Amino acid sequence: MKKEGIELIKDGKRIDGRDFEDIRKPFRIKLGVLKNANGSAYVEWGKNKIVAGVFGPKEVLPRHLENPHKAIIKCQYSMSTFSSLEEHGRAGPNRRSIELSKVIREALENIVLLEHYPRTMIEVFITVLQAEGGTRVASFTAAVAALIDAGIPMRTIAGGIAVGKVDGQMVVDLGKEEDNYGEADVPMVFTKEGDILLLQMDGMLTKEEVEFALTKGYEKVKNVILPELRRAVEEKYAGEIVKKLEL
Amino acid sequence: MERFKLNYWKEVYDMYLPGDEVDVKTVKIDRIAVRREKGKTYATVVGVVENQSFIPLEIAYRPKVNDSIVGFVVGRKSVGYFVETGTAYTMIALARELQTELRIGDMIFAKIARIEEDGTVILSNIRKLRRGKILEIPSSKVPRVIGKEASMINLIKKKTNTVIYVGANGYVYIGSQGSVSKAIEALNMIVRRSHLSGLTDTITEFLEG
Amino acid sequence: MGVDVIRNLKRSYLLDLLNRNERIDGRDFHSFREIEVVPNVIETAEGSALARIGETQVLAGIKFEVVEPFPSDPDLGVFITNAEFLPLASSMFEPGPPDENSIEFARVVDRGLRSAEVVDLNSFFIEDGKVLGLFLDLYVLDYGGNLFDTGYLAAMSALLNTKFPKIEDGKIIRGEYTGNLDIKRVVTSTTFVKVDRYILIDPLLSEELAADSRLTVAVSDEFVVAMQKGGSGGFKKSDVLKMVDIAFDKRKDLIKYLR
Repeated sequence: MKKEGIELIKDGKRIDGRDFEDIRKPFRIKLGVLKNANGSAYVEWGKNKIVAGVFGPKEVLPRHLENPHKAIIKCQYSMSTFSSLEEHGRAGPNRRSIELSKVIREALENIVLLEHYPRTMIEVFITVLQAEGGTRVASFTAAVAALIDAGIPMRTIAGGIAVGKVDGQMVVDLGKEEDNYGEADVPMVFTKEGDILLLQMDGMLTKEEVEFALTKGYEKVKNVILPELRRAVEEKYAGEIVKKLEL
Repeated sequence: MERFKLNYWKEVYDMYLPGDEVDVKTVKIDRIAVRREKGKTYATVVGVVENQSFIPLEIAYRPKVNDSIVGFVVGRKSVGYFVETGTAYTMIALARELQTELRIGDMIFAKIARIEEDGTVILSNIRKLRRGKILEIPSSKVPRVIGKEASMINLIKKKTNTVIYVGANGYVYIGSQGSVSKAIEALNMIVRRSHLSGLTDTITEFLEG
Repeated sequence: MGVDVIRNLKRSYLLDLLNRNERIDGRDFHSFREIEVVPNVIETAEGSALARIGETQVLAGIKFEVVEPFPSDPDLGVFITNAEFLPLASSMFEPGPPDENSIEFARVVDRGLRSAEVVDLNSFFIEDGKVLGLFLDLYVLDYGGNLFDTGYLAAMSALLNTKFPKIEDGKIIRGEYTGNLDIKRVVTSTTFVKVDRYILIDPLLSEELAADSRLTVAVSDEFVVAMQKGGSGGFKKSDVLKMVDIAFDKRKDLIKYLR
C-alpha cells in the first residue's frame, strides 16, 4: 500500500491542502436529475460525480424472487469506462462492483420500509461517471437521495463517509492518493440516529483508531452529510421542479 | 436546526424528511407517510404539516380500496380482464361486472373494490373510455391535479374542451378531442409546480392566455 | 407486458392528433425539442460532453489507450465506439450486456464519424506495432426518444473538446496533453419517423414506439455520411430525398450547439 516518495502529509496539511478532518469540496447533492426514473439524484463529492436512479415499486422479475410479506431491493453499482484518469475501463460488472452493490443494498434494506409494498421490487441503479476514491459511501448517499426523490417510505435517513489513516495520521474522507497509498480505509454508513449500516475496513488500525473512525464518521455524517441531504431536498421544492443533470 | 420553509398553497410550512418527528393527527394520501413508535410519530417521506395533518410531497403509490384507477386492458382470463396500471400489482376487471365486452387495448376507468390476500386488485364500476392518451404523472400529484372539490380538473376540462379522467395510480386519460396538447401542458405544469403557492392562478393564466 | 398493445394504442391516438396537424407535445412536425450541449463535464476523460434533446440525455466520454494496430492497417490508429444503455435511463432497459439496440446506436454514430473522417487516424501512429486507440463511449442517462441525434451531438461535442495526450517512450503520460485533437469535419444527424403518411422529426419515445419506420440521416458539409433505417415500415424515394433536404437544413441549427 505505502508508496515510497509520496508524502501524503506535509506541514500539518494533507496532500490536497485539507486539514485532517475536512471533507472534500465541492460536496453537493441534487435531487431529480433524470426525467424517466421514478426518483433520481446526483452527488458531486470532490472529483466524484455519481448519478443514482430509482424505479418502483414494480412487478418482481423473475417472479420467484417475489416475497409475499415485503418488497425486495435490486441494487446495481457500476463505474463508467472513463471514470478514472488512468486507462479506459472495462464495461459491465466485475467482482468489486458486485460486492459493492451487495453491501449498499443491505444498508438500504435497513431503512426502506419494505413491508408496505409486499410482492414488489424497488430498483436502485448507481453509476459513477467520474471517480476519485470513496465512491461507495458517496454512492450510498446518492441512492438515499434518489429514494427520497421517488417517495419511497423510509424509517429514517442515512449517509456515508470514510475515515482512514495516512502517514500515521487519522484523517476524514480519503482522497484518491490517500486511498491508494494510505495505511487504512474505513468506509461507513450511519443513520441520523447513529446506527452503523455499512462498515468495511482494510489496512492496519489499533482498536483506539477504529473507535476514532466510528466516532468521527458519525460526527461528520450528522453534521455535514445529512444537512447537505436536507438542503438538497429543500432546494428541490424551492421552485418549479425541472429535472435536468448538470455535471 | 432551523427548518426550511416551504411556500405551499397559501401559507408557509415547515418541511419534514424521513425520520423527523411530526405532531399530527391525520395523514393525507396514504397513512404510511408517517409511522408511530413509542408514542411518537415520524415522517417516512418528505412532507409538510397543515392543521395537524401530514401532507406527503412525494409518495410511491399503493392500491387502496375505493381508489379511482385508469388503465388499459392487456389480457383476458375466464374470470375477467387484466388491466395494466403502471403499478406493481395485477389488477383485474371482473367479467360479471361488465355490461359490454372489452378488447385488448381498451382504456378503462374503474374503482378498486377489494384487494385479495395475494395482492391481486379487484376492480368494479368499470367504464370503457374512448380513444385517447394516457399520461403518466407521479401519483402523489393526483390530489393537486384534481383540486379542491375537483376545481382544478374541471377548469382544465372546460378551458381545453377535453375529456379527462384521473386515476389515483397516476395514469391520466385524455380523450383525443379538444386542445389535447394544451391540456397536457397544463397537467405537466401542475406536476412541476404542485408544491408552490399561486398554482390555480398560474394554471388559469396559462389556459386563458 | 404487451409492448404491441401499447404500440397499437398509441398509434391510433397519435393519428387522430396528426390528422388535426397536432403533435403530443404541441410541436410542429419539423421542429426539434429543446437542445442543450455541455462539453468538458468529465475531468478523468480526455474529452466529454453531455447532450440533451428534450427528455433524452446522453453523456459521451473519450479515452485514449496505446494499442496494437489492426494487421490490415499497421500505420492507422484505432477508433472504437461503444454505447451503454444505463438501466437508470428507462424502465424499458434491463441491466446486462449490450443488446441489439445499444449496438445499433453505437454503430450508427460510429459510421457517420468514420465516413466523414472526422478524426485523422494517420496522426495516431506512434511506432511500429503501436498506435493510439480512441475509445468513444456513449452513456444513455435518460431515454425519451431520438437517441441517435442526441448521441451525435454528445459525440461530436466531446471530440471537438478532446485533448491530445502526451506520449513518451510509447506510453501515454496521463494528465498531460500536447494540444487539442484535430477535427476534420463536423457531423450532425436528424432522425425522422413516419406514422401513416406523416413524417415527424426528433421523435418522442411514444412517437418512436407508434411509428411505422424511422430514418436517421447524418450529414457533414455537403455530404450525406450515414443513414440508418429502422422499423418494418417502408419509405418512398421521395420521402428519403425530402428527409435528406431537411437534414441539411437542420444542420445549420444543430451546428450552433457544437461551437
